[in-house]
Amino acid sequence: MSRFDRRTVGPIVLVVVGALLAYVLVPRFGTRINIGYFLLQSVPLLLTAVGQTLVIITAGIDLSVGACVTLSGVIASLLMDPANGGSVPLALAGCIGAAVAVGLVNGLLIVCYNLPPFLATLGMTFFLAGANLYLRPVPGGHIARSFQDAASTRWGAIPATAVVTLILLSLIAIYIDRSRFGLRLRAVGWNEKSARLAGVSPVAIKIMAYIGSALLASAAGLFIASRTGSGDPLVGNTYQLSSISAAVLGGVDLFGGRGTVWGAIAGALVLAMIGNVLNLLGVVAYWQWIVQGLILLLAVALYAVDFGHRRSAQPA
Amino acid sequence: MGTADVREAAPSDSSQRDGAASAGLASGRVALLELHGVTKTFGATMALRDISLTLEAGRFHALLGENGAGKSTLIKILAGIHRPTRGEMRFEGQRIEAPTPGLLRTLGLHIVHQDSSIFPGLTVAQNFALGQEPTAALGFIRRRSVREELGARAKRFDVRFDPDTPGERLKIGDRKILEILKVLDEKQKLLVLDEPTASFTTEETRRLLAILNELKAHGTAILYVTHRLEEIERMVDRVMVLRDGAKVGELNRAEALPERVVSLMVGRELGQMYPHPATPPGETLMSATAMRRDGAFEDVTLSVRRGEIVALVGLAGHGSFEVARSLAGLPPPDAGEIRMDGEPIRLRSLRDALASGIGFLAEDRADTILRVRTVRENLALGALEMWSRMGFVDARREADEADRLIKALSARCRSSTALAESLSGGNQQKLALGRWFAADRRLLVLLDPTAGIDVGARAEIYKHLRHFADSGRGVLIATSDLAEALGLADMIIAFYRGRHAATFTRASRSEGDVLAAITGQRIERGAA
Repeated sequence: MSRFDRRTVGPIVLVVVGALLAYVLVPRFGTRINIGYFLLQSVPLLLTAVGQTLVIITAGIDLSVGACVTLSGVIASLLMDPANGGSVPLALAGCIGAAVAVGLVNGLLIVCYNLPPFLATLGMTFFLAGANLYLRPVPGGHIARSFQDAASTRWGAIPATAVVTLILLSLIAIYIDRSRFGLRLRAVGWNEKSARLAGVSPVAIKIMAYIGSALLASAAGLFIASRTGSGDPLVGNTYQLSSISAAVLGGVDLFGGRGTVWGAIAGALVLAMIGNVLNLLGVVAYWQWIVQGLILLLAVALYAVDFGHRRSAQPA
Repeated sequence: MGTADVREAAPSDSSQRDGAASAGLASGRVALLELHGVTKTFGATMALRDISLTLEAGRFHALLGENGAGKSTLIKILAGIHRPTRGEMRFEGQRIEAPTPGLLRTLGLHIVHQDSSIFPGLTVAQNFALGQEPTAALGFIRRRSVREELGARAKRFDVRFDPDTPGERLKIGDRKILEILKVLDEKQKLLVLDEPTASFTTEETRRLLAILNELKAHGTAILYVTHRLEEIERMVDRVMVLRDGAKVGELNRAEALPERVVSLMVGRELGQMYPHPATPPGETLMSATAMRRDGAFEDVTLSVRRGEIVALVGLAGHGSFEVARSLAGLPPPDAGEIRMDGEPIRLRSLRDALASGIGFLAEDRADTILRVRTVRENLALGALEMWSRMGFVDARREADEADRLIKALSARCRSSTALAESLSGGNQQKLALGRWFAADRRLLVLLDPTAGIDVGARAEIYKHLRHFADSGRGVLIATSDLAEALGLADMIIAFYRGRHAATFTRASRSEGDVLAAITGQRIERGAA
């Protein structure tokens, strides 16, 4: 990656400038309690945005992220219920297994049956939304105390989960930057035909991307379940689109090939920060949506110059 | 380029064909790759006819031929993308039954395709590593060894690459050189390059050839596919010429005089390929006077008569394509008067051009054919209004007219409801033409109407264009294929630096004269 292009530097500038502005202008933003709260709030968005980014880099999109977040909370709330045995390891295994299955089916539909990613994952969304409501018609169920405690551990004011999440996502970012998988991911997303000519098979790469997205969404769902102490059949819905917004804010190109996990992390932090600041200022919810929409459009405009450039840069 | 009469030299080369296979072996060189009697047919079209050739280690082989001569089919057979219909391929004496791209790479046969495979969004080092990344544990790329390998190969050929430069900042020539560095390794035995110097500068070409020379000196066989002999004249060992899918000659460097090679390349019976007009041209159909478009052309005056095919020729950017586009309103000329059948017409957009009875086809078929619509729908596009009642297309009429056109054009497709993308390039182009045959057009303006189309379909397209003109209408083509202009057109108008350079009638022209005109060595002032 060229290190100094707008898409790489832009998101980092957004985070730093945004945090400084918030610190200076919003009195309570810099308090220890708020920082801890903000980090905790941003965990699910961070996880889903990075998963979404893996898929978008392949020139795909994963609309089933939100439903997958919900699914793992629902599964955990069922399997951790003492009535069903109440085993935490079994619940975690169930969530991981379900995520792998969802990602695999998404990937196979797209790779083997050549479905447009938008449609394949939209179909998966409807399927999972129905399954979630069938399994848990109303919020409830049981989340093991030990699991809730683990998730709410704090080191001083800093929530451990947020730190672990940031470390995990940084490792993923480094891996995507430096591994064969990461390189091939970008090559496939840029131009599948050329990638084939260079000896790269897109099949495994794409399937892995969708499995990665589902696994990270599942982790987000477990985190939410641990905080609320229950399963909720609708809780993941917002992440379907906010994960895409965060990726785009982070400079990830919806046409594929261009974008970094670092950018997605920055994008998710910016989006979460906007929500946090507007909450602190007591701005009502619908204004929050309007502000988020405007900032998203602004960011896209900022990167838009690249869109045209990218197409013309493709040699004849 | 040659000025020789092309018909004269062709028959004298039959002796070359027989000597071909044994010539190299006699000099004690190793036959690396051999093709024996390779034939490839696509449906009814014979793309390659009984090709036998031998490539030897440490020699520079050139494969020459015009567009559509079968060069790219031959490359695709070497690459394992197509399987030959008949014939066999041997590599170091071993018969290769089912060549796959992977197997050929293992054997040491590398192909640099015509289209660049450099990813603009990846760095030089990433592009270099892609597909053969050296990895450590967990699939991390050993970046230092990628850099070292890139550096070593670049140094060997005396080129420089910054590993962190994004691919999109590389010049066209550097992209090609990087692709070559990428495929070179210890196992390298044969390097095939398909038209590598398209859109190269002279300096870029020189650097590429220096690299190939170095490779050749170390025993690599090179097969260089081109239609330009001049650039490799001094380093080529053997020249093989393809025409209409058959090998028509194989020459040593000493024998490969440009005139001789050109005559082999274009030496078809021009009369068969290009039908002549049935009647002398009638009155003027379209005339353009003092036409000008800023930055593209100026002072252009030309006319097309009924029954006439006029060709505009010139080097890229010298005005021939620009004038043709402007006659279709894309974009319209800034000044000048255009008349159809004596009536001045308003020409401010393509819509105006269509309303005046002009039919236009762009050079890129992707811009003219709707690939995922049916043959029938593609044919109907030009005549939608004629075939409609109250805004609805009359489906039966559409079907009947489409079937009639398919038959008239001898377009090969399963049915009129097959998708356009299932047709070959030549047949797609017939659809594009058929669209305007269906509509009531007085003048067709076509850009490179047969680019990338095989010989058989080309001959048919020429026949249809001639038929269209013979029925009292006119055709104006802008073409980058000089042989096409010389064979097909009744009138050739040459452009140089955006101006009319010369006009040639059928009686008064040779390839040399036209070449001189488009390269600025001969300027004449006169009306078309």
